[in-house]
Amino acid sequence: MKKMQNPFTFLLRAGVIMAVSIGSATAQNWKSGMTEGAPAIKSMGPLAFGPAGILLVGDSKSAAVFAVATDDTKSAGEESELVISNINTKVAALLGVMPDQILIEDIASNPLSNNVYISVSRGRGPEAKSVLVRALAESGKLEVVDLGKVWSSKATLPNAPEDREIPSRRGSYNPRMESITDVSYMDGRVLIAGLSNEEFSSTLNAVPFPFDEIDKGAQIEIYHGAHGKFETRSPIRTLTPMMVGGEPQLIAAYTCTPLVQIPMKQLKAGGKIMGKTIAELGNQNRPLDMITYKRGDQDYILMANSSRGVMKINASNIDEAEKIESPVSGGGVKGLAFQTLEPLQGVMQLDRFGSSHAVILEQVESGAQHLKTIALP
Amino acid sequence: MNVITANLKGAIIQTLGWFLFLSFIASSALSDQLRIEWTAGASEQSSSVALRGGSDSDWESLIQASRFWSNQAWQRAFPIRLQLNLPPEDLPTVSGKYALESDPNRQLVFTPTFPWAPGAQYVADWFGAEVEPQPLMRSIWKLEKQVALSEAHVVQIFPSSDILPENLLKFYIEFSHPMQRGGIYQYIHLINGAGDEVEAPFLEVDEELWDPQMRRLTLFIDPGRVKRGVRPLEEVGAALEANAEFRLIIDKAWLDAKGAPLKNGAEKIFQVGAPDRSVPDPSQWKICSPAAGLHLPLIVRFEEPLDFALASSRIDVFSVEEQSRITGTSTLIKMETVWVFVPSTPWKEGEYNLRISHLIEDLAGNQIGKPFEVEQISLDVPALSPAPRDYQISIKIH
Repeated sequence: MKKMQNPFTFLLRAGVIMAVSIGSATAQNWKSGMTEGAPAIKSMGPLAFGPAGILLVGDSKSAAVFAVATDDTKSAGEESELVISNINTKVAALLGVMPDQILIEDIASNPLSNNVYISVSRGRGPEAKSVLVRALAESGKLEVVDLGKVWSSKATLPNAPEDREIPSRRGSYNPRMESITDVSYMDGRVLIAGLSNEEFSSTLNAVPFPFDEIDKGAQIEIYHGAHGKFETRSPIRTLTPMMVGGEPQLIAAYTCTPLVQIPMKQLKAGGKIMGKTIAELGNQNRPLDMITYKRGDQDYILMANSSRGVMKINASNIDEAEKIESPVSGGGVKGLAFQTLEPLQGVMQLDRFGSSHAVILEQVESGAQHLKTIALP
Repeated sequence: MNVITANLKGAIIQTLGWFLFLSFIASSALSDQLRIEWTAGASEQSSSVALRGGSDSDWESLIQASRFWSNQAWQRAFPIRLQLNLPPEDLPTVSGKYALESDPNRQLVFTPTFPWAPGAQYVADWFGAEVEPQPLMRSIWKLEKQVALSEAHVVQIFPSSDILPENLLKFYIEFSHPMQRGGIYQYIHLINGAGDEVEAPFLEVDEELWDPQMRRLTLFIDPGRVKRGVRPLEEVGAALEANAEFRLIIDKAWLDAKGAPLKNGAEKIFQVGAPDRSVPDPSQWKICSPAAGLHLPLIVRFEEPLDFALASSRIDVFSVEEQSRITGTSTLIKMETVWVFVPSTPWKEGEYNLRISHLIEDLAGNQIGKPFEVEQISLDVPALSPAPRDYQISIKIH
């Protein structure tokens, strides 16, 4: 006999379901799993923004990614231009050290406030200190972000060097490092690309966010066609998420520049997946950084690289793009059409800045570095 | 007449000057003179610059004015700047905190977020409690930098062999002292058989692949420049060509962590041999195990040289009975072809396992059961290759 539903219980259940759905729709608790205090970040490298002003910081020395709640969630006013010329000298002045002792590691613009966060190494040796600097979008003022008391959480990479000492002529220690080459966020997942200083391999990790101690994320092997062979072992240099045909996709650029498309839903623990090589962008050209954007109904990828101006790649038909499986001869290019933006030379880093701009870090011949916004081309 | 007037004017001005000077002396005698004093230290806490002295009324007006001051207001009244080749108004002031203290002595202290850096010149300006348009007092100070001695040098370049395969994957450069990061590739040159420098042969990564102590650099040959088996590299050619003598040169100008250049440059001269496309095969390894009760090494001879870093850290001995790793010291000798392991305590009779990680590589990046060049795989097969497994060799000690 079917048990009758008590109307009160039913209402209560419905209420709970409603409360849960309202809760998740309005204020997902992104600070879940975070603790308050000074995060034990050893080195700040790649930066990316997650939801609600949460900054993701790649820390190669700890082989971990830290999520730091910046509480910088006040909406930006009108989108303005930001130009900070000689930013390396200005950051040096702020940190009270000569400019030759400053290395700018990465920049990320907070999509809520447009403020630009800059990871900086103060010093160049093993005793160097990592500093987070913020450039205020409205005034261009630079300030040190105090990380003494913030909410943060940490995800350690599953392939982190073991805590084990190896004897050497200069005492026992573990010389292995897992350098984080890029960090990106999409759809409740943090994507981390890494490169070891020992074995030459491609490691990609997809860690669910908010970070959970138990789930350290998936390490994924990606095969793609290049050099006329299928490879897994070329490291990912830079990656960016993109919606293609309503499906979230990961666009990854490898050290020898093939651009590979990987459906996010395929990123599963211990998985081996086949990425689709969609463009070969020329030999001896290292990708440095990449963003995606939409203009009208067209999708574009903007890529900074080591040997030519910023490349604007039309990615609208990425879904139907021809798969490249044969070698590309003559150091040539193949696949998606791209345009080289000659005026944008020496661009080392880029990120989105509001809806219609990008922020770039460029280095000119004199060695001076400038931070500035450009209208999305 | 005009001359006399001029002289008279001069005398008046001179007298007035003396009068002002004397009254200045008198007022400073009445109060402790305001001064700016610098303190240097290695830690954040011990670096500071302070405004000290001054009359009671000076401090009273400062306390009154500062009641509602933020850090920004302090920065306007007592900015601390680094002297650089840009106009000071274009530069941010040094990051730090201000504190107005009265005990034991009254002082306005600025503590920088980071300690004063040797070699940098700082300027402290005191604009007064009223924040005048011009500074009332200025102090310029420099923490002298000790000249660092050139001590660092290249200890060894791996692989140690002077014959290397054409499809060599990487070098390790080991230094005697910690080095500096940033723009290092300019100091590394590969010279081919004809004496010409090979253009961009290495994978240049901005992070630079150092160990945590910054004494070992990993230098990957650009994967696009590693000689392939299937077809010749049509674009720029391989970095290394067989049957030629190559040189890897490290410039003396490379700076160590203290800022001193290397004591000497370094050079590794090597012959390039045939490419290595075969995978390491532990079944071919020769093992020489010592007798029980002795404190002698276990010796493993590989069939080919292995990657220095991976072979140093990825081979272990496990006791079958105790189910645990045997602690001890391992060394690679004979051009990374022989692994020597001395346990911490003498060998006990029993069964042991030599565990070799699947990540072990030869000089061309071939792993056990997995060559560097993966053969073309069918796209339709879901499992593209079997999961890598560690290799195990059983050893008996009696």
